[in-house]
Amino acid sequence: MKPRAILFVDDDSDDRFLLNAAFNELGYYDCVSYAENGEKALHYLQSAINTNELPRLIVLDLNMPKMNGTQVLKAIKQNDYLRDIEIIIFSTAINDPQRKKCLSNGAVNYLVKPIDYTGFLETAQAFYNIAFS
Amino acid sequence: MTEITKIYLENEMDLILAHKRSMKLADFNGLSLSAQTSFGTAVSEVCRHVMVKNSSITVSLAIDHTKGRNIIIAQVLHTKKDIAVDDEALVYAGKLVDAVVISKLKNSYAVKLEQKTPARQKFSIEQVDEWRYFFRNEKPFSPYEEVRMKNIQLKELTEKLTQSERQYKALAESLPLSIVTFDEKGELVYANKWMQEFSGQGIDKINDSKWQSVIHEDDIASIKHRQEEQNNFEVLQSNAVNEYRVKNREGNYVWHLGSSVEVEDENNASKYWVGYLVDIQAQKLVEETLKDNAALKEAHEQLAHYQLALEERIQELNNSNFELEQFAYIASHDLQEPLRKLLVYNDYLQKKYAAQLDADALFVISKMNAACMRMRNLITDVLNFSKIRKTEIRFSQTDLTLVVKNVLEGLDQRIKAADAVITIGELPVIEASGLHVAQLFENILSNALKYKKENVRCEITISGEIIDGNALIHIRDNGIGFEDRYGEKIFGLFQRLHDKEEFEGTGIGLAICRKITDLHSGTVTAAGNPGVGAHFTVSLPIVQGAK
Repeated sequence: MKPRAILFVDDDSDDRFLLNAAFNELGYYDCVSYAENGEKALHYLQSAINTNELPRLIVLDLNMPKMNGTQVLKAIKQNDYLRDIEIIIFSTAINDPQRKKCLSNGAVNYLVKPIDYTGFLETAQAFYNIAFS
Repeated sequence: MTEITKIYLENEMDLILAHKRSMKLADFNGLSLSAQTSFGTAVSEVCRHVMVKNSSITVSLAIDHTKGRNIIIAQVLHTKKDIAVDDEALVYAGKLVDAVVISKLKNSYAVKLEQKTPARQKFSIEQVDEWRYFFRNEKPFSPYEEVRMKNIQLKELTEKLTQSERQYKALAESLPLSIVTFDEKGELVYANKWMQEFSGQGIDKINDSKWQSVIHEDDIASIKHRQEEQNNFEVLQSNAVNEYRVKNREGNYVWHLGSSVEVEDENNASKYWVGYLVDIQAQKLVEETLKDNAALKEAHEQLAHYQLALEERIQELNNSNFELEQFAYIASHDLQEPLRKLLVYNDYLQKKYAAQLDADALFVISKMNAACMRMRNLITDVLNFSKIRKTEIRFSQTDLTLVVKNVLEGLDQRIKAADAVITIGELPVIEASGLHVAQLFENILSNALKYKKENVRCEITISGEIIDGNALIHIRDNGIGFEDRYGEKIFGLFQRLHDKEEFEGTGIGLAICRKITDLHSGTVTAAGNPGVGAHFTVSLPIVQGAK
């Protein structure tokens, strides 16, 4: 699989579908890679290190099976090759303490998942801007 | 001095007897005939002299045994003191016997004649008994003497009987219990001193009242009940031991134990009963106390049992409350996710396929969207409601004026939209959870803004006061109000007074308010007046945990 600028890690297939739809509608094709859970994300990143084709932005859902977003965030920040990649937390939970914890662990932002498609379009645009600035 | 015989002297005949017996006693003691005659003459002379001044006297013939020899004695007892040793008769007697002595006894005077007997005489009880026997059975020397002896025996018996009766009476009078005798009609014949002093009533009064003035009517009634066909007194007369309440002179009833025994006279004719009543109040009190104690203990145990049951119920309730909260939290949290998808896909459908859908389809989609939004609000509110828990609350000094001002800032947009005028007075500083009281005021103020009257400027007044350690915050508005009977209902979960179309809302806001005041050991109440406005009163303790 061709490495892409954004890695979107989320076990929710709907969110993956909607984000993809939004990117396509905005006309940005082939700029997002998708991982269904934390383990797969770390496998992906390991191979990206090997091929030296790291993403510019990682978007992490928090509530995932096997390895949750917080654990993935820590693993990335402990890895010398990965720690400089920007990370955005993308979660349904409006939880202030959790938000603060993620930001102190190195995430650049904590976004709450939108409740309409318009929100997805705005989010996709924001991700694009960060990844391709 | 050992008395051998006694003679009552009333006349000449008695003097002869005294003379004769004195001689006989002297004879028994080995005195010569002349000495016998001297002793007898001395005794009769003294008696004759004393009798002149006394109507009746006694002479006691006795023996004294000192220094190995007997002395025969004649002691004349009388009651007049004017008998002297120099009286002629006594001087004469002094020449006939060894000694004449006058002495004063307790209630009488004595003239004592003594005559020593020959040294060879022995003294023994057997001898004394023999002499006594002789005098007792001495043949009367005349019919007069016989009648007289009988008379004397009768007199002695009467005296003994009177004495014995006196002793019994003294005993009955001195005992600290009530002793009575009564006849077959229950009429008191005798009541001892204690009975009369205890009850403060004489025999007549007790008889007049047929015992009711001293014995508690219930006790008489229960006796009646037990023995319907008999009269009251038959129970008193039975030998059974019964308990009665007897009224004392102060008018208080004191428990007594009573019993009586039937006494028959010699002819088995007229019966009477002797009974006693003894104070058992102390014993009764102890019994009652023990009984009370047992009842108390039982009540206590019952109470402890209830307490335990109650605690169990409370624990169950707490558990189920906790489970319910957990459920509400998890359910609302997990419900949020699919709902969000519904909203997003709805929007996706509307935006992407708007060109392909007709007006009806778009209307349906907009309805679906509105329903989803309501559900989302509901879930958010339930989630918020379930999040308010005792464990989540942290109390600190909170300036309510600041809290309300911050809330108003947050509501800025809506205040402007409603064109509301809000007046805020000075509010107290209290110990509270700032975050939660903010939510409390936000909910009440949101309602005031929401339920405003159309075409009338919304006016809200917030004022505070301190009463009995509680901060009272009044929030008054000039909105549409509500009927006062709904004043309590509106604080229930999901309770709404208006159609969803009229005013949006989930019916949770005020339930959250109630929960917050509960957790602060405070209250929130509402009074309404349709078309005039609503008045919410929040009462919160200034210090938490102060009772």
